[in-house]
Amino acid sequence: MITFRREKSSLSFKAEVLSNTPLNAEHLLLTVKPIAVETINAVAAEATEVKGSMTPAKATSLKGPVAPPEPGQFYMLRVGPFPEPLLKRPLCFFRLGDNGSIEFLYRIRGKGTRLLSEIRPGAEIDVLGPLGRKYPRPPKGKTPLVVAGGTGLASVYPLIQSLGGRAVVFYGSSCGEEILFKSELEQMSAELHLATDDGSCGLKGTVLDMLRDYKLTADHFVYICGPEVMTSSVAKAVKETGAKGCASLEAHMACGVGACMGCVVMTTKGYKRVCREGPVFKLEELVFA
Amino acid sequence: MDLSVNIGPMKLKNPVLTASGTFGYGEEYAEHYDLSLLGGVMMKGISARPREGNPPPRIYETPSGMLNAIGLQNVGLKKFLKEKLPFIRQYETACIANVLGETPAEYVKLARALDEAGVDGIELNVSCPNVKKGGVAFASDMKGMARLVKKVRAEVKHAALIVKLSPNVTDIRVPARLCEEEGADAISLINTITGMAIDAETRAPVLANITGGLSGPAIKPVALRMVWEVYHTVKIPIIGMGGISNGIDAVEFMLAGASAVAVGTANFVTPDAAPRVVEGIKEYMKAHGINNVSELTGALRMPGA
Repeated sequence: MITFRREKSSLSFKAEVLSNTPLNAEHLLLTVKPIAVETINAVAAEATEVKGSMTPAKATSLKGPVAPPEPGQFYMLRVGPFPEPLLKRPLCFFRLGDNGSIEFLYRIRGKGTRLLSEIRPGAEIDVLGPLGRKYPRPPKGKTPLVVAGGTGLASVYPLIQSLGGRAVVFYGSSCGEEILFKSELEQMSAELHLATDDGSCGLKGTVLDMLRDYKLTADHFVYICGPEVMTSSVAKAVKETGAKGCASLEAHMACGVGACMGCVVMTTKGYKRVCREGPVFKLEELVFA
Repeated sequence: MDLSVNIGPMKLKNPVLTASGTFGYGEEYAEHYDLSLLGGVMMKGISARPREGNPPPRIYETPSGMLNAIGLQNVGLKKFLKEKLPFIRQYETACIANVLGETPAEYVKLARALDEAGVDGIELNVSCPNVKKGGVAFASDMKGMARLVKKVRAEVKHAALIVKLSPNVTDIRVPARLCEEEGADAISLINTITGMAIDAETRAPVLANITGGLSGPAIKPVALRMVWEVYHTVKIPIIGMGGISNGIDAVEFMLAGASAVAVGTANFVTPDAAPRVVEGIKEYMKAHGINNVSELTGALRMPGA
């Protein structure tokens, strides 16, 4: 049985796809269940003991624990057989499902997510994670205010969940069809403010329009995840009020663990790795073009 | 079963290294497995002073490969000696420093300091395609490269002196021969192949640096051919790399003439790719009744031979 455990847990595991369900034209909900942990240290030890026979270069243990994910962290998922595509794809942790399963909310955007959307229940995929920094807890006395744009909801959803009804949530998307998990969000949030570009759900406009009409003060602690233009404009508006907060960024990644230096973003302290120092960064650290 | 190999004065417990620039300074991967399983770690290239690297986007996935233009973002010599070298020294694995200077004098300074600090190998980076000074500029300046190897050779007393060659040349045998003549202990090849990606919708280059270095399985045939050519040109050992993802890939490089191999982009694909390559080589040796891994070097069977 695979269990979640923080100490001596493995970041590499095989998972069975339990479901991969379309939610609308572009978004899917993927549920995977860790089924086997792979540890090369154990493999090497075994291989030296066995003599004269072929030893598997790859052995799996069904007993090892996998690390528990925190809101804001992400996983790297293999979406097709090596070497096409070559690299795993980063997907943020959405929420835990039943029986130790992990859920991901994603949008089909390119080759990788298209391949992922074609994976059927029962398939086994390689997973690496959880990786990266989690969202910090709101400082004492501050009201958590969450701003999500489009698929950015996936990253802040478990944060809202973990805030136990305290979060003031602003969530915007292109149309009502694209507003996901509305009833869950209504239940989990202190306040839920919705906006759509076409006005088919909530206010006609953007999250920034809603925020401008809202009394955002330095007593709020703001969490942002969404498209880059939204993140930078919201971050700017937040900074003007004197409020502090953080934003989760996305980037194309190769390794996901901090080795390749491919996913960097400019900060006040130079280039930082989205996979390692992020994906959650303090707003005051970020430098927007 | 004997997996050990010698690269000049450097003894490796097994022939599997991790390629420079794909493994940081080992710290990230030490969270995934015991680095002592490796023959050695070729550290991220270091320069005299810290380098910020190129602006993003820095990477782009291609069919069976990837382009990168990191631009040698690194901590610089001082921090390397103070923090990174002691870290890797906790493990029973060889440490090979990769150095990049903006001038020959900088290369010399770096090599001397690292040799004195006791690294096992010094890999001269005369082939990075993503920096303006040093690096791949030497691919079109063979005389300059030869002079550089000679100068550095005079300073390196203990470590194995390795020169990492660029594949972006007409004839790889020319720089290989020069390296041997100037006293290099070994040659490592190949660095990445210069490439480019374009977004047709925006009509813009994908990478901020415009061009980048291609790596991964896509370049393996080119790397194998170059290792084979160099093996038949020089007597010094070759560290082969370019798209090695499993034990069989590694064996192929050894058959072509490599004495050791390095796992690069595969580290990004699977964090423990390198120790899996070690296990894969062992499997092949068992299956083929090979006791000493160095028997594989250059053991290619040529048709009609």
